Amino acid sequence: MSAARARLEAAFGGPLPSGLAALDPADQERLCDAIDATLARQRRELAESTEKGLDFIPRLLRGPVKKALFG
Amino acid sequence: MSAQLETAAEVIKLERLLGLEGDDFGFLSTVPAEELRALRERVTDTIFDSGGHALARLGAAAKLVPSPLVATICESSLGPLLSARAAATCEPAKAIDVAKRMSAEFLCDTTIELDPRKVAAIMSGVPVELVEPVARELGAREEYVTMGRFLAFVPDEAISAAMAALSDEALLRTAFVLEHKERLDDAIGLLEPGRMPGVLRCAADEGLWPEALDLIDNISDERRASIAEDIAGLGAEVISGLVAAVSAADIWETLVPVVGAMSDDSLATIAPVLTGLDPVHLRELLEAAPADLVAAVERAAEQIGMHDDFDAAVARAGLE
Repeated sequence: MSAARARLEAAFGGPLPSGLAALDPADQERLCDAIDATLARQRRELAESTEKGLDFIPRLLRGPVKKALFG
Repeated sequence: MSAQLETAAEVIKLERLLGLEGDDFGFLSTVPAEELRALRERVTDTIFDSGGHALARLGAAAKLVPSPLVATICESSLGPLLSARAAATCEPAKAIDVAKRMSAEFLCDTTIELDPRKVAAIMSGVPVELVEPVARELGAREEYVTMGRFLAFVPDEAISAAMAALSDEALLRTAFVLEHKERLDDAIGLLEPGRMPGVLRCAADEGLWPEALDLIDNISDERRASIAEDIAGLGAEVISGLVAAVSAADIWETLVPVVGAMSDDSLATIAPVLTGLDPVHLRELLEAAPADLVAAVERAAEQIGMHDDFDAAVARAGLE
């Protein structure tokens, strides 16, 4: 199995059906690169937003909100 | 239903999910739509499941804070992505109360980041007065995939409001990528009376016949017959353009049922147009049509005294 196909199988969550399996390995790579880039971008944006969000909570509410968020 | 159009719609949705535009994934045109849908849903799950634990806590924290303040925090600080994820963990009533206090622009940004499957309970309770401005904004931003994902989950009155807020072009493009096309029939039934001819003219003007035919392909026979009558009344130039577009995209399986749904009077109306078609287009149409439909068109030509013209056109098309 090519590395590109193994990557796409991982993204698909199992063995590839015939149409995706028949794609050119270079196209499978392009597809995987786009998926990985999206996942990475979302993780980064979520982390940044979470960091910023806490700063905005009014002082009075910061304690209960932090407790709810982080236990 | 055209497999080719189904795949084309899925490619558009996958490109949108991955933040790509245009023909980036044209190489996927050979992949069956159900495979692309499975991949898209798997990637969507991976994206939306990340950070679930912390987001659940964020949703719980929102309960402690008054809705106006939550809305301000979302707009000023959390941003649309985090707000969208947190919404999925919020109680629906709280999420709707917060949404009512957000600007249409921010609500639109947040809607783009939502996974409608995970906020179905919120969507089903969204009031019409919230849907209409967001639909208008999404349409203006050409966020057809987002709209198509959401219309599958909102109540009928919200669909009606969204459709009314959309331009004819946005309506066609949204319907093409609608997530559950079994809802299209009801949605089209909710359009204001007399709107469909304008939608069809838009398809002609904007080169959206594949989208229009896909829509017609997904509605009931009764509504298809009504739209077929509208098409027959569009005039020779528009109908010739429709046939040329179908030929170029090779989607005759979507046009034949439309012609088949026309009344005898409408067939008589379009018979002169068919007689004057490009011979290649006429041959393709007649080859794709069942024998009884060809016979009905021939009878319609005869009815208006054009039988000989029809025979001559068929001969020019290389058919007997």
